[in-house]
Amino acid sequence: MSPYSVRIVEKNAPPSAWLWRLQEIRLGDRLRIPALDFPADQVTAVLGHSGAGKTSLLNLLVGFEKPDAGTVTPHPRAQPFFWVPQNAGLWPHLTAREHLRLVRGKAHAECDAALDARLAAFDLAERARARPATLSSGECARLAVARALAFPNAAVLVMDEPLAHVDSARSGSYWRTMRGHLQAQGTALIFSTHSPEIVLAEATHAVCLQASRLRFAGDVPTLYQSAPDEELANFLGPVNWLPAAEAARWLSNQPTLETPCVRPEKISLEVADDARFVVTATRFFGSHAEAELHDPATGETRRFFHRPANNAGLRPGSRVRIQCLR
Amino acid sequence: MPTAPLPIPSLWPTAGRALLVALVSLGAARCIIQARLLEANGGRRQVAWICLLAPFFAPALLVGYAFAPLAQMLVRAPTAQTALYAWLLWTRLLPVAVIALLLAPSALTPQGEHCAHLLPHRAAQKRIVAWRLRWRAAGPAPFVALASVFLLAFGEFELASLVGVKTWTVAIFNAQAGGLAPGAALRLAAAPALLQAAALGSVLGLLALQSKSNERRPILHQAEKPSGKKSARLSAWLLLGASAIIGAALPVALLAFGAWRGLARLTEHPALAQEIATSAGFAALAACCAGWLAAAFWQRRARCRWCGFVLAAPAMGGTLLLALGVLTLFQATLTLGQLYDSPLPLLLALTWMLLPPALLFTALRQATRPAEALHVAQLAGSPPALFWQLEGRTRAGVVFALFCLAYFDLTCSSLLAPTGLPPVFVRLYNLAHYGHSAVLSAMLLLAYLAPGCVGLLGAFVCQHVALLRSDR
Repeated sequence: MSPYSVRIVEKNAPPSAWLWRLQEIRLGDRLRIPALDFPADQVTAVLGHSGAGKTSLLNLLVGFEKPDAGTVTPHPRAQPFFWVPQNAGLWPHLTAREHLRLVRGKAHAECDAALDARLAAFDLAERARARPATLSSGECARLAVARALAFPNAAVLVMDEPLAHVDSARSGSYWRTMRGHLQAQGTALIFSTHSPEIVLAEATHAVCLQASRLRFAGDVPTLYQSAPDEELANFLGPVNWLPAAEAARWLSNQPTLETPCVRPEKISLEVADDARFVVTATRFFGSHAEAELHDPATGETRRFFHRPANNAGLRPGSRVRIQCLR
Repeated sequence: MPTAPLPIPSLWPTAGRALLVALVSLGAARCIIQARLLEANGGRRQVAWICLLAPFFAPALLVGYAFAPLAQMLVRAPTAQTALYAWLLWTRLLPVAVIALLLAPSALTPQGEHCAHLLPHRAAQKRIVAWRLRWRAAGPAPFVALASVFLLAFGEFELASLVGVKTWTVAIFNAQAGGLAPGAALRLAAAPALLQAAALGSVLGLLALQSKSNERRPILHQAEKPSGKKSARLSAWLLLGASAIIGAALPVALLAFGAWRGLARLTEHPALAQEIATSAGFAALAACCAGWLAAAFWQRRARCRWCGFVLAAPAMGGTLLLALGVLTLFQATLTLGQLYDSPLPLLLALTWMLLPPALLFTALRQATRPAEALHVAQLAGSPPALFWQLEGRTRAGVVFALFCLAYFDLTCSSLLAPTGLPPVFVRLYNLAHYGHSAVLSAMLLLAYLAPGCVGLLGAFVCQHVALLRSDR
């Protein structure tokens, strides 16, 4: 007998703090999770490097795959749910509009104009009669999301790297559409992504996977501000990892840091001729910048991520001191 | 005055049997593909492919010779005899169905199917939606597979003749061997040929429709389900195992068991070596010609590919009709008549016979060709050994597979071999009708081992030439 089982919680069970509960999960060598809850009333982001097991985890939630061992327990509050698979999972013989029409169903008849409006929100109005084989990767990704939003009365939407193939200039408006729809319908969202910006903007709860193992499950602000280690901190963007000894060596204002996780907005580089560190290289990334600093006294060099990014005086050869902002 | 096609015995039973074999092959092929054994990682994939292809490349004469005693025991139970024949035919043609389905995979991904399963319909409605999705997204692949297996099963002759099952091909071959003129034999074959043309026409029509709409290509197939269910994998392994054991391993084992006692007496048959060399010569020439033709058709425009399909179509009707057609062509035409007793008719028939598999192999090779890797290797001025590993050995493998198919041919050789150049299997086939003997088993074993030796020698030479050129 397979050690795997799906437990169905009673329909009249009391409101729960979780949507899915995973226990002692083993899925080949792709995923091993001792225990994990996906909380209700939260937007959960699943993070991890490529091959960490994000897709496998989401596949387990939607029942696309079954674990070799362990239990996946969906709560009735998680029903009904719909899924946006990584490869979009579109139906090759249907047009874009027909995808939405089929998902919407006869009981929730929505006129073609409403379906077209939904397609238009994802810039697919002109492609309403196109079949998946003639759509680009980005259009397929948008159609998969539009189809999921057309699913009537969804309690949860599970999305595997939604809008991954969409250009960043337009993905913001699509996320706004998604956010508005989810809030209006009271639908929970569980999604995987590689983008720290999307996690920070959209998610309240984060699940981090690394090398097929669960590394972190908790609030996004906690992960952002006081990640337990540098590797986890990196999931949410650039970080200056400064343990007490490092902080004492590099920071000029000697603050008492509650956590070694110091984000770029907390670091300020001040150019001063009498400062201790010499800038050897700088790189500008728009929202933040990176400076490579050298300490002539010790011969050490390390990188710092900082803001404001447009520090005009900061160039190779200039001397700086590092301040940690409160 | 045109003559109406003569009624031919066993036509409809053959057609019914062929249809049954085709349907069972299609079901089994779907089961094997869904279990994803042929895409598994590591050694299991190779074992699965070997199990699948071994019966196709096991010569009909070998299988027929191995099972002839059992078939003779069943002579008083024709249903059982027919069932044995149908089973053997299924093992041989299962790879055709699998490859036809693999060549045109469904555009519906497993994820798409699961999304349909999540729809909030009632159970019955859900089944209808899922069935509609599968049916409409499948494209023409199942029909192509069904028709291909049907055509090959319907036109099969060698196995039926050795197992003692009455088919229209056996009836026509016997009539022709009994002195019926080739033209009259062809007229006798008009009805089955019409049936074959109808099946072939429907396949070509479906393919034309597909290439016109060009909307069935698979979309974003990455990150698919890693493997099928355990039970599905087990069923698929059972199917592959049964097919490989019955269609290849058991016949080879039976032959080898009977052959070892006769090996010492092979020196009494010096002509055997010459016959093997003759067969190998014809096969090598035909394989090269067919390979070259298929590549020429495939590498040009789509219209050229269609010309290739149309030219290959007569060969889909089976080797008997093809050989009779070539025979009639060379006997009835004054100019070609002068070449009747030359190697040309046999070479032409063998090349024609190889054209459909050559086109199929070329399509498969093109589909799996690592074009980007080859281009990068070219840009980097990589050594020939890399090109051999990336492409050369696959190409050589295709030519070798064609060589084997031509080498093991019996029907064309029986009808078209020139005087003084008898291919090896013609005599062995005639001897096989007298039952099993140690010497015959040893002769058959030697004849079967010959292409293996040629293949190993060829691979060794090619590999070393590539390595030597790389070292320079």
